[in-house]
Amino acid sequence: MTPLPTRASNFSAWYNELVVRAGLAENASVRGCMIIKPYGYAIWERLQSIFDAAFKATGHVNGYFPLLIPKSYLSKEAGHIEGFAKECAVVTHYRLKMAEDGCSVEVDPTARLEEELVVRPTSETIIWRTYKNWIQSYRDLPILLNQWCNVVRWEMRTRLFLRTTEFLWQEGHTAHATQEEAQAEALQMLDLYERIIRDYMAIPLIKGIKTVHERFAGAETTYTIEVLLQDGKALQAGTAHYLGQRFSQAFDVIFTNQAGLRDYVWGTSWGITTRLMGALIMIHSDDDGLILPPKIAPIQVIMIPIYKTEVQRSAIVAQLASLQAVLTAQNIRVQLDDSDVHKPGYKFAEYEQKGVPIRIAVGPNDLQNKTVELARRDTKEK
Amino acid sequence: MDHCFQQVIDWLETIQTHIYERALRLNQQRTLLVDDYTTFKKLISSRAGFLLAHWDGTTETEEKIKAETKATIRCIPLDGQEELGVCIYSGKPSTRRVVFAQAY
Repeated sequence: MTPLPTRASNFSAWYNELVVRAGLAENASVRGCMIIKPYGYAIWERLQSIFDAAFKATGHVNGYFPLLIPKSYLSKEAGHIEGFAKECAVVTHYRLKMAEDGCSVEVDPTARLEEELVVRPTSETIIWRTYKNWIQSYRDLPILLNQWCNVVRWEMRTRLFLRTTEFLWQEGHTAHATQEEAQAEALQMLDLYERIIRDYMAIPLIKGIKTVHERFAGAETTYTIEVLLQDGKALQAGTAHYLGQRFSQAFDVIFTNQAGLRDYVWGTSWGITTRLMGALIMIHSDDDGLILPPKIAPIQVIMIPIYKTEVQRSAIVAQLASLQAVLTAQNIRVQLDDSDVHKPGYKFAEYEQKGVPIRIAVGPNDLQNKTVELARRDTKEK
Repeated sequence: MDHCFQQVIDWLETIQTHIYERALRLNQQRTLLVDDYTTFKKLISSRAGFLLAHWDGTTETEEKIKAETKATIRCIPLDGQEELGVCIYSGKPSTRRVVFAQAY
């Protein structure tokens, strides 16, 4: 296995190669889009399940809104359209036809949409348009809704996980009867993000407020979590927006409050994305590859048998399998790699590159002495 | 084997803590107070990390600093203390430090 470029020599090349070689993701044929490979997706699924459980523990529920948004919706909130107009993908047609050459396809010009549709860059507009139908009275509030989905923002300079044209995320959109409640919700979600990013992803961070210039298009206040990567550059790792009444005013979402008066609904939105994967990689990894925090690692312990003969192999694999059963029973995520395709040395390097926190190796001598070799990924200690 | 089992449990916790502390140390080393623009420019161009500096609160200054150094204001820290100072760029009064860095 050829070594990665070093961080000191070329940080950017180190990152790109690491992402590909650790089996996390690769570039797609459409520039700026990425293919998330099973190992990378397994990490994302771990993050998803941790965040999702925390959302539900704070009373949120999941729903799903459409990918395609009528173009006119985006014009309702002036600041919002100004922020997103430059990066929207637009659907104009709904049919292809065979070209005259008989072997390629082209857009059928007769199948033009009456109203063009925007591929969601974020869903405030379509969700607040829907909330107009859902909310009449304070009894309909609060709405604490989240969705897990993809969004598209046309990017010129892209990089795997950190900035991609299409990315995965969750977007929470809440509606409240009072200003105080909406402000408290935005801060609650910021604190929830902080706790998971720090306690699970092992990433230190700064919590703060964005300046007017940097805040979300359409928000009154944008709270942010900022992290520092090994190359000295910063990354915005998550945001929570206090929207005030901007979207309720834009979409005419009015309710009758407890005093019997009509008022606009107060809102928040908040999100974390597959960018977090980039932060995780760039903060913890070294020149030998990924280093994953055990709480996030899809595989926490990798077991590798070392043998020469088939007899040794079956005895060692049996030994490891029984240890695997013990660890699995304790909810530890253990994988036994008994494939015969690669030598142990190759496997050692491979799982090091994948950032598996602990390696257990057993060879013929260990079998005799009833010992195992344990190795830590973060310090290489044995 | 029993020993091995316990070691795995212990290590999973130790590793989690260790890599957080390692990242935290690096963050602390790379979070710097800066009070003059010359030093600021030097530190930003060498990607020194998070620079805590005074800012006059205007978008105009924010944009000029960005144009000259590629540094953006990452945030006004929530746990930041009130502290009187002068903006590193304009020299106008400021009441708290903000976090500057080049960002992805």
